[in-house]
Amino acid sequence: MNIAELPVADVRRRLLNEGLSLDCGLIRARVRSAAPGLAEALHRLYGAFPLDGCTGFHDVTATLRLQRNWRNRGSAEVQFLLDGDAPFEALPAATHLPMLEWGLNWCIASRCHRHLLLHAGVVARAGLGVLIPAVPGSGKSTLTAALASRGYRLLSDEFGVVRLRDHRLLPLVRPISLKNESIAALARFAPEAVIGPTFRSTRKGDVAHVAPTRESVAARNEAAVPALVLFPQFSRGAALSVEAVDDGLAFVKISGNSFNYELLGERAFEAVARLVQGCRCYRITYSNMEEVVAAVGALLDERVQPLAVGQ
Amino acid sequence: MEEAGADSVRWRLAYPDRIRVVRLNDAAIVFNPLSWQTHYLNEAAQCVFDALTDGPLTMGELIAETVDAHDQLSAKETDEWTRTLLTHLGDLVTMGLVTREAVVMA
Repeated sequence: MNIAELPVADVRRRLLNEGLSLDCGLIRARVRSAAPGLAEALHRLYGAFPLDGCTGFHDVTATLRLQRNWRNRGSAEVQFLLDGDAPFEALPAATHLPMLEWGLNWCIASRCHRHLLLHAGVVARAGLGVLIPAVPGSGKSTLTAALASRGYRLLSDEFGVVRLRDHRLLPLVRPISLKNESIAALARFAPEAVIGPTFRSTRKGDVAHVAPTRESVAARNEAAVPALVLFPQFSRGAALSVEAVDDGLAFVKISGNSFNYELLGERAFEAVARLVQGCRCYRITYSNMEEVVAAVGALLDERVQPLAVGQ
Repeated sequence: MEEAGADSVRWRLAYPDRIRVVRLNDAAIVFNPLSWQTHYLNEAAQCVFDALTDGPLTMGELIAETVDAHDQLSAKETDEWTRTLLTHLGDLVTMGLVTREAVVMA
């Protein structure tokens, strides 16, 4: 049974009581909240995730506490509480889901140091992973969402998780966060995509989330072999451009993109080196999603053919 | 700065057995196990670094290692190349990858 099969009222009841358990693969989070609208949003965006009894170990126990800000005419706010502590300022109550997602991101980036963590989208096709590291505003999430809506398995929109033991990519499946114009662009590109409510005028502008596909959720414990590294750049009206990136520069860009490279030291050095040596790295500039998806498919085809010949 | 051409000091890799190097096309990426910092060496810095992998060298020996034997450098060219090498050595010392030691005269 998955979360979508549960009536929204039951999701709300769980959020108010024992909590709603979200099994994302790498982490399992327990969420509690009385914020109006959160149950509906989670029901829609986490619908494909398994429903469990919310027992056993959770890596994160997060509470979105509803409160009043009496310095601002008693406006309703949500406060993200992590194991009872409040690491951030409260936000307007209407931004409950972005607050939850940003809070979970912070938990992962600051705690999950058994693996190399890159700020990157990750998708896979036939077990081969495409790593999309980027700074905010580069079109990483848009490209990740476009690929995920064209048959690629989503591993993560936010974290490239490299397992140090074998340098494979681990899934951390959660909704894809889109901002501003990319929301409508993705809706046009993939009308069948399940997109949640749009949260207007947040700190990051308008934000909406795309639900991972059922297949991506089902494969949330299956690692992928890294095959491609793409450094994306969305540029309105730009013609598609795909340029190979020198391996040395790729190393610098990937390591500089990590949340915990310096913390992991030599193991991170080894992981990035293996990643660069095992992948082909490209800078990809795009404005048209159909074109860029086709280009990524062609690049991945080139990676598959040598494997087939060698078998 | 070192006196150009002086052979009173020898340069050596700081931790030759522990420094990790990965070669990627024209670049070398080096991990310093003491500072936990990673350094990108361009082709020129790599040339100096590689010359020191077999053991400590004086400036004269380093010049001989890094200049093709068929190239006869003029005194001016030798001075220029020495200054270039010293710049790279200075950078490598700052990174903690290379140290200098005094040559003990017999």
